[in-house]
Amino acid sequence: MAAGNTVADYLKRAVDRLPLDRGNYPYVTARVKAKKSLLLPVETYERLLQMGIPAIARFLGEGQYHDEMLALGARYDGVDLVEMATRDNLATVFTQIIGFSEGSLRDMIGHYLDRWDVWNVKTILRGKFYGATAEEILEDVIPAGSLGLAFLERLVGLETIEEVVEALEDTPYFSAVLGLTVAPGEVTTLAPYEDLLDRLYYVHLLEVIPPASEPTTLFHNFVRLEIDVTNLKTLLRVLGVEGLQTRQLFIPKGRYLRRSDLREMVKLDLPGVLRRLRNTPYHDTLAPYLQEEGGDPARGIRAMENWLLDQASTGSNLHPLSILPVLDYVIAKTREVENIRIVARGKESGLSVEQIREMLVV
Amino acid sequence: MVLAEYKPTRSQLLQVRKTLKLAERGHRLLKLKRDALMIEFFQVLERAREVRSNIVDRYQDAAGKLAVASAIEGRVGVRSASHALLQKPELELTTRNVMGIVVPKIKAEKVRKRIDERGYGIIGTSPRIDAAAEAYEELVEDVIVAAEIETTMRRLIEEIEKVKRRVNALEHRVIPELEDTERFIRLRLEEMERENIFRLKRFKEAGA
Repeated sequence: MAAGNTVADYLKRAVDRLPLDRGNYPYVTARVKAKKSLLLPVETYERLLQMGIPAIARFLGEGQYHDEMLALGARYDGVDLVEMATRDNLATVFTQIIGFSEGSLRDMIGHYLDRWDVWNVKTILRGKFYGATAEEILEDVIPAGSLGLAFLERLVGLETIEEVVEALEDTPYFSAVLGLTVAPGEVTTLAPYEDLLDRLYYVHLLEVIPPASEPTTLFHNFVRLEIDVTNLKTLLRVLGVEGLQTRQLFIPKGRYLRRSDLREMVKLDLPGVLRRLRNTPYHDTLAPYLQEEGGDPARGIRAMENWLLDQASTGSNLHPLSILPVLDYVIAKTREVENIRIVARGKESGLSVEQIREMLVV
Repeated sequence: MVLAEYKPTRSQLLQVRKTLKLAERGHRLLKLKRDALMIEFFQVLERAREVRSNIVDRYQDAAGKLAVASAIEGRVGVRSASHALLQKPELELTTRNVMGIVVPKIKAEKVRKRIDERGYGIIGTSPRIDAAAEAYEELVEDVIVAAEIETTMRRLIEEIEKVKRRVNALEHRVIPELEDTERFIRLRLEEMERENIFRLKRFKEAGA
């Protein structure tokens, strides 16, 4: 994961560009398919919606979340136990997938899962800025990426932001957070650094996996679709916000949407944005939510997340021996964890069954 | 006030009459002040009720949005986003005068923030967090307004109580006592006058 400049790195990058692919696709896709069959079916969510928190926790404790529920049962209870156990299970499962995959497939999965590293780096920086305790920060860390738990614990244990930034020197995120040490007293908001980290993740992801062979091209295309969806989500959130510096908000190299187009769209209203999306695959999904001036962009964003889930699923059916089944599983597993959390937290907060059902992405 | 303290002299009578007049004028003015304060209080009370009801509505709205954000982003996501906020609202506390009462005037800045000023990055967070943050910013604004209004209300109540006590003291104690004193001195002086006339008559009879 280190982006060094040694001869070995140079050679690796050169080899990566050759149209050869190494990876245990049949084995990994078979394992992932087996894992996918363990995911909760759609109808289970209806059952969960009718249960209370203790019943949900018991139900999860009897299934694939058994180990985590057991391990965390002494420290947490209720909805916190459900959230922490599902989150830990997510990290464990993703680490397992990286563990049994090989070659370029392993690289691709590893780099894709580095999004959790970005999450962790952001969480640690936020915690350090806010003055949160090491325990508080560690509770929020999800070790599902390349940066292992030991490294993350070391980062959390460091006293100052400068030390954290220094410790990140061998990671691709160093350049994004370097500014935090250049002018430590002048930093009043972490937002630009966080956005830079997110952008850097995708830029790095596309850079380290060039579209040389069919699997890498499939991977590339999917990541670029994801970039489009992320950019659309950002666009819908910043629409109409005056005086916003939009230059750094959008991730480059989306599949159908260019950054210059997105920056122009920021000034439009919802129907205007929809008109600009007419020739893209996103138009039909967003149309019900953006047709009128007072539309519902938040629901549009959920619809786009659903659309991406469908794309991953369709891709995995069309290319069963590629990286797409793995990505499909990663997204589906993440959604499952999110959906369980939505049900549990929604129940805890007293939201109605209809409200919770509307938030689920299934 | 003890009547024995006063010497029944004409100058004392004039002094007591002056004090009585002053007390009566003060009583009238304080009654006017009390009535004006009551009117002001009821106006403030109306605003306070409105703000309170707004706060309740906004709190319910904010709690609902936070619940949705927690459901979608998880406790971890919401807490992590909340840690990103470094800029705290700035409050400027000045005072203003309402009928002689000093009440606070609170000016709040940087409570409501733009999406890029909340500290967390836009790319990696969800619109549900924006909605919750916005709802709580509105709530904080209302809480600040309520703090100003309710402090004003408390000060007004204290002042009304104080003025009411003074009015009552003047009405039921000071003025009646001064009237009694004035009557006592007046009667005493009249008595002394009569005694003097009687004495002079006796002298006249004795001399004849």
